[in-house]
Amino acid sequence: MNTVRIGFFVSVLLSMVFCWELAGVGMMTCLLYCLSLVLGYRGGSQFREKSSPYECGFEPIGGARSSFSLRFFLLAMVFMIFDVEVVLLFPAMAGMMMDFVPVSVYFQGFFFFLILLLLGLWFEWSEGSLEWL
Amino acid sequence: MSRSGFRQDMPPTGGYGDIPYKKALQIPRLKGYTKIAIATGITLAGMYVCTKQIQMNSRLRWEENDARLATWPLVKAEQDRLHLLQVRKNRDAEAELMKNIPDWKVGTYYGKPIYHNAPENHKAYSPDEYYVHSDPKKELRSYYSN
Amino acid sequence: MGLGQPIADAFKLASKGWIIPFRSNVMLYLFGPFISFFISFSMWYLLPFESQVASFKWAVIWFLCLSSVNVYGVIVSGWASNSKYSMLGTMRGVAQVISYEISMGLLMLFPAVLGMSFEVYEIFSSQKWVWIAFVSYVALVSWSITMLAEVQRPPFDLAEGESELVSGYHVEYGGMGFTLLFLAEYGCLLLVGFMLVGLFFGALEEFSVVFFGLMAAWCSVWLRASVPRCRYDQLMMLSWKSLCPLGLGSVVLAMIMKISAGLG
Repeated sequence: MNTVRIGFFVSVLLSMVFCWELAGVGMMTCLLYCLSLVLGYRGGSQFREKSSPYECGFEPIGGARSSFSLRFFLLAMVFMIFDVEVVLLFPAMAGMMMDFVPVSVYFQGFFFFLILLLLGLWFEWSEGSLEWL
Repeated sequence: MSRSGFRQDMPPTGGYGDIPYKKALQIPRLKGYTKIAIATGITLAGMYVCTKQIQMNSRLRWEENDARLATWPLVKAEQDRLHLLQVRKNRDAEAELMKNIPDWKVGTYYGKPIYHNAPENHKAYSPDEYYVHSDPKKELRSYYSN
Repeated sequence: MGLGQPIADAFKLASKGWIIPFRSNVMLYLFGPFISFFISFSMWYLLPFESQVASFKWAVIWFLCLSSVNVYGVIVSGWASNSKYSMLGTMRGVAQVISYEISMGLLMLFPAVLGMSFEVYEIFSSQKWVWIAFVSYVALVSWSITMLAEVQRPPFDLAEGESELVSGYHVEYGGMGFTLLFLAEYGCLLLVGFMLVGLFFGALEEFSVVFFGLMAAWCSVWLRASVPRCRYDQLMMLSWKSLCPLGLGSVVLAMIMKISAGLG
């Protein structure tokens, strides 16, 4: 029955204004991009010299997908730990700033947490995993 | 071939002066400790005013919350009234639609009544049924304009 | 009258030729600029105007999420285009952005706690008596540096160091791909300027947000003209050893101020 679906559609539409805006940005980008891909088409990848990766006038030597320094990986690991901690801080702060619970209760809990964070940072520092060179 | 009025470009009499290589500071600068003191003072004053500001904002928020609580029964009553209007509209539409069928009882579903007075299933309608007789465009317009 | 010049430039950029580099991942290569542009312009929902149409309650978290997802544009467009320069630029850019994200999250809590909300408009309108910049100029300076590094502007533009990597992660792009990457970068820059003005200086009206926000963005261009690019290890040390402890300290300061406000 079509009328039933229309009723459902109304109620969903009322809650989807935000998603419509997001879809607007996506559609605008798609339109711009596709239009210019069509406008700027000069034969794509059929010229081998033109489409070879840029390397300051030389013929490209070796592949570009080489391995990278382990420093970057270690840094990403440290980042993971710290980012989880920062994300844990956000709901704590939300609870504190909205006066759910007496502030001192949160303070006791999260002062401990922040000290733990600082100790973690100090440990990384002293261990040397923050050193780049 | 005399050039009248010609004068050789020469250094000024007595030679050039010394090159002023030292930086000439025109603006009297503050000393480092003064700067630190000013910054600390501004920060401390800002912190004090900011605590007062937090208190003010907190009070405003409490007041807003109290107002919301105070007007809540009124808002709830108004919501219920709108709900009943919509339900009545559905019932009337159903009666209008089914008036040619002889043994049709309005407001029943296989003999069971679908409208209740009991508070527990007061609003337990699916949106499909609830908005079934309304115009989507009109509903949207009434949502966005008072 | 040079008013037609930017429009003509836009048309010229849109009709420029583009290539698909040899042995690149075609779909990802084409999709990278789209990701960048889409994410950077989705961030504009938290535009801090008084007459804003939409306002949502967890806007600060929206900003945090999207600026962390923004790095995927760099990863995809740099890795997929099969060039050594873009690969190196991507590695640098990713490490830089994720390092500065820690201090961004921590420093963002400072105005949020003092304004007692995660809603951008609430934070901006809560600064009636004193700006948050006066409460802690350390947090202001740290936030500015963090944001400069987060949108990869000079002096922290290691991802596209012209003198070493030719143009970083968008070497191989031409036409609209390049345009979208650049629009994304500048859109982020403007939004960051607006956020700075609002979060730390309580700008609320359309005029002051736009005017002073553009001034903040202009300052970043000014910095590009006057400051040399910093070294990469210095950049990392600045993030992990200075800004991260300072951000933690800012959070503690904000908590202490909130508590003393509750006591007084």
